[in-house]
Amino acid sequence: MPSRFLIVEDDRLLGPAFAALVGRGPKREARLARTLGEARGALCERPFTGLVLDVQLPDGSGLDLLAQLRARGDRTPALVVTGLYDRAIANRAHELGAGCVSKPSVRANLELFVEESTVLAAEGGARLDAAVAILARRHELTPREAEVAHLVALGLPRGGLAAALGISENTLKHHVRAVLAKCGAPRLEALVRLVIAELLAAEQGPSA
Amino acid sequence: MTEEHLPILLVGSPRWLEATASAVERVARVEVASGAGEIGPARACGATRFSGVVIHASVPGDDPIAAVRALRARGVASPLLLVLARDAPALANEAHLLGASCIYPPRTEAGVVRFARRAALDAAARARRLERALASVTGRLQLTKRESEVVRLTLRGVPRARFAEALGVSENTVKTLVRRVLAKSSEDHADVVARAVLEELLETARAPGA
Repeated sequence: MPSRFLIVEDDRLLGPAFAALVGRGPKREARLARTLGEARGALCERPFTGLVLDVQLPDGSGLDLLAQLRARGDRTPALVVTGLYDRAIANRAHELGAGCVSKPSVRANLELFVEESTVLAAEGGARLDAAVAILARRHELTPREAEVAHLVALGLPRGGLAAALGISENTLKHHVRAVLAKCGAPRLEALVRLVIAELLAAEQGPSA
Repeated sequence: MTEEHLPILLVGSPRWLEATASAVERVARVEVASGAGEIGPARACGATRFSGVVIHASVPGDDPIAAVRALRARGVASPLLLVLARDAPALANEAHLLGASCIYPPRTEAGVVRFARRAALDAAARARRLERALASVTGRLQLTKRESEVVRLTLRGVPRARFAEALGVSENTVKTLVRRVLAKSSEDHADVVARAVLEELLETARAPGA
């Protein structure tokens, strides 16, 4: 089952850009709605894995839409993306169990949001991949370092890492040291615990 | 794992701590620190040492994001709440990436209390889910009660050197227990058993409401 995201954004440039970013990758779909009306229509059709909501839309506020969903007991993960970030919006988003970020530089935030929602909705391997991706983003791992973490989480013993990555033992040592320092893990194997922690944390979903 | 009793950590100036701690104490056990630097590796030990962490804008250096970074770098993976004083769009995106939510006045105390209550419930739900996975692995590998305690400590991130103390047994007994767990899982490292638990978590669907 693919993860499906609803992007509610009326900006003619940002809307399609967000949809392209969020829908990129295998088993991911993004539906773009430019008004609350369109969003409500889309929400009636099928459930979504996650919602990306603008605040100021032609026919109202994305926060009001989210409040209606929450009142119905709908706990779909949501990220509020606003160009007018202030305390009122941030507080309301928090109360509704949504993240709140400030436009336009939200690329990394959207990617993290997609990963977190995927842990919640996907199955098996995809959930592990997403949990490792969250860990990597959280600790600013380079792509290579993230690969090291992923292989360890998959259960590959330390001895097989260099061969699996196609690098020398010395280069591997350098990557391993960096991963441990960034993640605050005493040993490579302790990464498994951190992945478990990310998995369980993301499974909790929206927190309000 | 008795995470139901994990404390919530409040970080901020002594004045803020004094004003806030008593309200939070009504819903959760509270630990306080006046800066992230106070949270040494020993205190942060284990990714789930705290049910949640609240950082107030009054942390030393006036840089709550730096405090969040410092905690994450020490392996603290708990949910995080930032209580800010000034509107900070620039901080919001970075906070989100670090897994922290931001709240602002007024009514920050109510927000902190709600967060603490929620964090305690979520920690308990995570603990139950982990406990089920551990029980399943214990059954599959036919671990004894003591042996499964070793796995539980590993999952908690307790360093091997503290196993004897935590289990109330001698160093030799710990050695024997670890050896038996490894023999039963036909693996060569205790954390590999943590991986078995991870697999269990990935295979089992979340129980409704958990």
